[in-house]
Order: sequence, then C-alpha cells, then structure tokens
Amino acid sequence: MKMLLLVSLLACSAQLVWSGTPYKPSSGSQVLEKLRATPLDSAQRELREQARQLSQKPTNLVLAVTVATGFIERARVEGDPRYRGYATHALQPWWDASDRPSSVSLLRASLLQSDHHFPEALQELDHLLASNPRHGGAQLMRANILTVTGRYPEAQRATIRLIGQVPGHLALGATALIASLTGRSETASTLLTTEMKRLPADTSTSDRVWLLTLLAEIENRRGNSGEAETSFKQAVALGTKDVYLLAAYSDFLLNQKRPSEVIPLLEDQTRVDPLLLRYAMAQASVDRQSSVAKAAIEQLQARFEAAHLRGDSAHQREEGLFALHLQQDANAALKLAKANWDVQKEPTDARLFLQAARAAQQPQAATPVLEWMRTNKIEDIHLTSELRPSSKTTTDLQKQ
Amino acid sequence: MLLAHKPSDSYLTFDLHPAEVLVQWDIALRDLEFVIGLDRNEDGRITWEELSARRTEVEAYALARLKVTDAANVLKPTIEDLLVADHSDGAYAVLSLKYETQRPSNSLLVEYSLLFETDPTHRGLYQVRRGNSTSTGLFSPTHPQLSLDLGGLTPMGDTSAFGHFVYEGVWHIWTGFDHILFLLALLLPSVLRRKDGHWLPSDSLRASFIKILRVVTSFTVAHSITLTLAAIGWVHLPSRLIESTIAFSVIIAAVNNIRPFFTERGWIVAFAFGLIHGFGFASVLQDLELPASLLARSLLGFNLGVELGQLAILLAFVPAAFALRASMFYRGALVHAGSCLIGGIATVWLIERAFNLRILPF
Repeated sequence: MKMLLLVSLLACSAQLVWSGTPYKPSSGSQVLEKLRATPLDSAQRELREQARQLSQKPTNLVLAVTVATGFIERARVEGDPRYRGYATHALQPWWDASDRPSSVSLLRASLLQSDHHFPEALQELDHLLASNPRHGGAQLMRANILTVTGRYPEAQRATIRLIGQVPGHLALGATALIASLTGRSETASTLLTTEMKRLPADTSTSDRVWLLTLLAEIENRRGNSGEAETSFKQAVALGTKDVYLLAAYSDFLLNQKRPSEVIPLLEDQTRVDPLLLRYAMAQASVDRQSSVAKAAIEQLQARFEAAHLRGDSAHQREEGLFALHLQQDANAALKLAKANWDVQKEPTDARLFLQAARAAQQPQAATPVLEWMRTNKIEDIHLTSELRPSSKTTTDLQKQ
Repeated sequence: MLLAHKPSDSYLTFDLHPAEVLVQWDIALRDLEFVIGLDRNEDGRITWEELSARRTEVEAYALARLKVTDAANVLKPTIEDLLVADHSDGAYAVLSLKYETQRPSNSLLVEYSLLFETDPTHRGLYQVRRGNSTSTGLFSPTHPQLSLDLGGLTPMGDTSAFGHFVYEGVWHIWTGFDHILFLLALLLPSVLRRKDGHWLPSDSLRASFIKILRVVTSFTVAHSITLTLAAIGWVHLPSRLIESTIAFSVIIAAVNNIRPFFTERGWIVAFAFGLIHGFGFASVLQDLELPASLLARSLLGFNLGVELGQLAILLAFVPAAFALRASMFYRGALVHAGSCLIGGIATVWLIERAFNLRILPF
C-alpha cells in the first residue's frame, strides 16, 4: 500500500507541469492574460517594427544589434526571459561565427551571463577584449561577473581598467561593491554616499536604482538597517520595477520579520520566479496554510519542474531557498546550495549555504563559505550571526 | 543582478492508443501574441474574444509546426474546440488533436518546430502516456523529433487491462500486511480444537479443512460485497474509520487466540470484518483511477487478484500448519507468542490510524 502510494505520489508530482485543466471561458470579454500593465508605448512599437524589418533582412548587423539590445532590455524590465530568446534569434547569423563582431560578442556574453554560464561569458569577453581592450561595456560586465563568482582580486584589477572607459558612477559602483566584500565596507559606504550626492542630473533611473540598491545592501550587511531601509525606499520610489531591487528589498523585509510589507510590493510581480519565491515566503510566514500561500508554492513547484525538464540550472539559488524555507527539506536545500556555490558566491548564496548546512545538521559541509569569509574578510553581520552556536538552526518560516 | 525566470515552453501530452494518438497541446498566449498577434486593441490584455477571433490563424500556425507522419504519409489531425488552460506562468491556448493511423501496429514520427524560428531557447515539454506508463521529454532545436511506438498496445478494457487489475489485486493482498495478519490470526487455530481451556491438535484434516473453508469463504463473500458497493459509489465511509477498524479487527482475531470467545464461530467474525476490509480494497482501486466504462471488468479483475493472492497464502500456510499442529512450537510459540505479536502490531496501527500518527515503518 505504501509502495502504491509512493508511486502515485511520484506520478502526480511529475505531472504538475502538464496539470492545468482546460476550460472554455464563459464570456468573450474575459481577460485571459495581462501582457503589460500599460498600453504599448512608442519604444515597444519601434522595437516591434525593427524586428519585423530584421525578419526581412536577417543579416543586417546594425539592425540585428539594435533589435537584440532592445529585447535584452525588455527581458530585464519585464523579467521575461523569452525576450532573451528573441535576442538570441536576432544574433543567429553571427552566433557561432569565429570572427563575430564585438557588438555581437558583448550581447552574447550578456545572454550567457543571464543563464549563469559565467565561464563561457568570461571567455566571450576575453575574446572581445583581446581585439578591443578599451571596450568599457565589456570591462564592466567582466568586473561584475568576477565579483559575482567571488574572484575579488581579479575583479579589482578589472575595475581599475574601467576608469575613463565607462561613466564615473558605474566604475565607482563596481569598485565599492568589491571593497564592501573585501573588508572595507565602511569605505564603500562613504564612497557611494558621496557619489549619490554628486550624480550628474542626466544619470539614468536604472543606474540610480543600481547604486541605491548597492548602498542599501552594503548598509544591511554592516548592520545599519535604518540606512539600508532609507536607500531601499529611495530606490523603490524611483518607480521602476527592477527585479534585483525588489528581490533584495523583500529579503531585507523578510529578514526583519515584516512579511506583510512584502506582499503589496510583489503582488503584481509574481510572473518573475525570484519574486514569486519571495511572495510565497511572505505569504507563508503570514499563514502557511492560506490558499494564497499554497497556490504560490504549487506554482513555484511547477516552474522548477519545468526548469528541470528543460535542463536549466540557473535557478539553484531560488530552488535552494524554496527547499529550505517552504519545503523544509534541509538535505535537498544543502545539495542545491552547494551546487549553487560552485556557480556564484554572493552573500545571499553564502547565507543559504550556511543555513542549509546547519538545518541538515552538517555544519562542516559549509566549510567553503567559512574559507571564503576568512580569505576575503567578509563583513556581514547576518553571516556572522549564522556562525554563532546559539543562533537558531531554522528561520521563523520553518517553525510554522 | 542575475536572476532566473520561466522561459517559453509549450506543453504536450501524447495519449497512445492502438489506432490513434490524442494530443493535447498547450501554447502560451504570450508566445502566440509575439508570432501571430492576439491583442488586437493593444491594451496589453488578451481576452477570450481576441483569442477566438484568431483561432484559425493559431491552429494553422501551430499545426504547420507539428508534423506527424507514419511510414509514408503526413497525418492530418481532427481538431476539437479551442480551450484555455492556466499554467504556473499564465494562460495557454489548448489545442486538442486526434491523429488516426491506417494500420494498428506501427510507429509515428513527430517533428516539432514551434517558435524555434523566433526563439531558439523555446522548448516543447512532452509526456507520453502509453497504457499505464508515462514518460517525459523535451523538443529542442537540436532534438526536434520523437518516435511514438504504437506496437503492442491493446485497447483499454481488453485482456491486458483486465490482467493489470488482477495483478494489482494480488499485489495488494501480498503487500497489505493488515489483511494477511487478520487472515493468519483467524486461521492459526483452525488446525486445533479447544478443550478445557487449552489448544489441542485437531484429529481430522477434514474438520480443519471445513473450518478454513468457512472462514475464507465468508471473508471473501463479505469483502466482495463492500468492494463492489464502494467501487460503484453506493457506499462511502471515511478512510480513517475504515483503516482504524481494519486494525481493530486484527486485534480481535489475535486476542481470540489467547483468550477465545468465538472459537467455533470464526467465520462470523471473518464475515463481519470482511465487510470492512472490502472498503479498504476499494480505496486502492480508486487510487488506480479506473475509467468508468471499465468498472465492472476492473472490479472483477481486482477481486479475482485478491482471491488468487489469498489462495496462494493459504496453500503455503495450511499444509505447514497441519503438519506442525501437534508440536509445542505451534501451539505455544506460534499461536500464543505469534498472536501476541500480531495483536501488538495491530494495536500500534490502531493508534497510528485513529490519531493520524506515524510510528511503524510499514
């Protein structure tokens, strides 16, 4: 009987992906899908027109680069990866060519890094920089990837090369981020705070959001939650639905045990996986048994299953958090956290690894994190508190 | 800065039958919007009206990108009503297609190319249902083909389905320890007789055989009645009550061997609790999700399987019990200690089932 039950459970879970029941909508005016919050704007119309032109002249390089850049930007704004697929398609004639132009290489590297293919993205950038060493965009992307993967000394050398190649505030942001992860977070905070005050008036909103989020996270790691919150709020007030900002701010609020503030922030952003995850965590810590929490958890489960079927592994951080906080499966969380750590090494990844190792009662499994913290002199009060013997093995979410 | 999202997928289910393949194909409205354009008034919302208006284009676009061929011909499907399904990342148009093959036992080749020409990261996630087994996989630009083997498939309701339910019945009685223990506890004293508060070996094989036959027949008749009633949906009892009562029945049968109170009337007890065990069998049958059209056949098959499984246990038990009946080992160790053990296990089951706990690993 147990065997049968197990088999049928497995069968059920494997079919979650296909499980939507078909129906016939009851009225013609029933809205089935919301594509955007707003009507099509002129930029989107233009991109659509350019894509149409490109389909007639697919080998027009200038047009292809414009279209791909436009789609990558839409993917970032809407959090919808299918636009990256369209961008990939636009670049298809040059994608595998050994002498691909720098403009194609840069976009290719950007697409690779979005799928967490960091070594391949770095290789692409090195290839580009070999023939074009003063390419600011490539230098900046390279510095960011080196930082995300925890290669700080190399990242630092890369940022030095940024000076004069990219706008000053971008070079400074990259430098401050590395400083904050290598034992100089106070300097990083001062640098960024000063820079924010003298930003040129024409600085783009997305650059402002990036710098403010950076500052908020640094302050949060230093334990200055008041300053962190001020910066997060300033960034949110700029009005863009930046995925990275919303995820970071939600993590901050969840950590402060303020889940009810996360819900309105993410309610209409749940198409994006990492935001659906934070939304589910917030709903679950308000009431694990509520139907909204259960529905969100089931949706996540279905998306992870679809990703597995596709063979994607770019979601390991999110899936690890999901296993740890929403499924209470410490062993699965540890496995995912470990695999994720091999790919990226941001403080969030470190914390997930520490928490999962402890929940699975294998604290020694997280030794790589301890080494990373020691070697780089990481200053993060949340990570430090995870190491204290008295600190709880589970988060509040797990207790429910 | 680097985050993962749900990319573009379509979902396909292939249901294989001897001369036809049923396909359910779910395609994201977002994808159709990009390649065909559904949002006519460009307000950022797709209504049912807007989708219905482009139905012909949607079907033509999709079908041109799913090629199904048998040995020689490209098959043309019949298309049912367009429907909608909600998946984890939004609404999908649902195409229901039926491909009929010319000859019953051949294989079909499916070639998938939806959206590859605009989005090389698109994937078609499929599941193939073949009889009782399901396999999964995906279509990608590098693996756009799938071969569907229709050989060896028999229509549901045919002998193979019947055989399947017989198998499930046998399997269930062999792995359902509670049913076995109930039966064994009832049968342990059948090769003995009670005299002056002691168990003595039975004199005649015939007397033992009649006792066993009575117990087993009444158990079988009783559980067949309730299994049928429950399977056709006439009677429904909460499963916690059923499972708890089954555990209780095992305790009663075990206690009777130590302190007898229904020595010669074991068959009545077998009948009374057999009714409850029947409900237990029915819940398994429900888990197997049998199609309504095949109810009678599958019920018969499952019940026959249960009886066959039961018979096999008897064939192993009776000769051994009869041979050993005079020994102290049988009368002392097996009947007394065995019954104590059975009663103990059943008591834990009763607690587990009544209070929804988990103590034993089986």
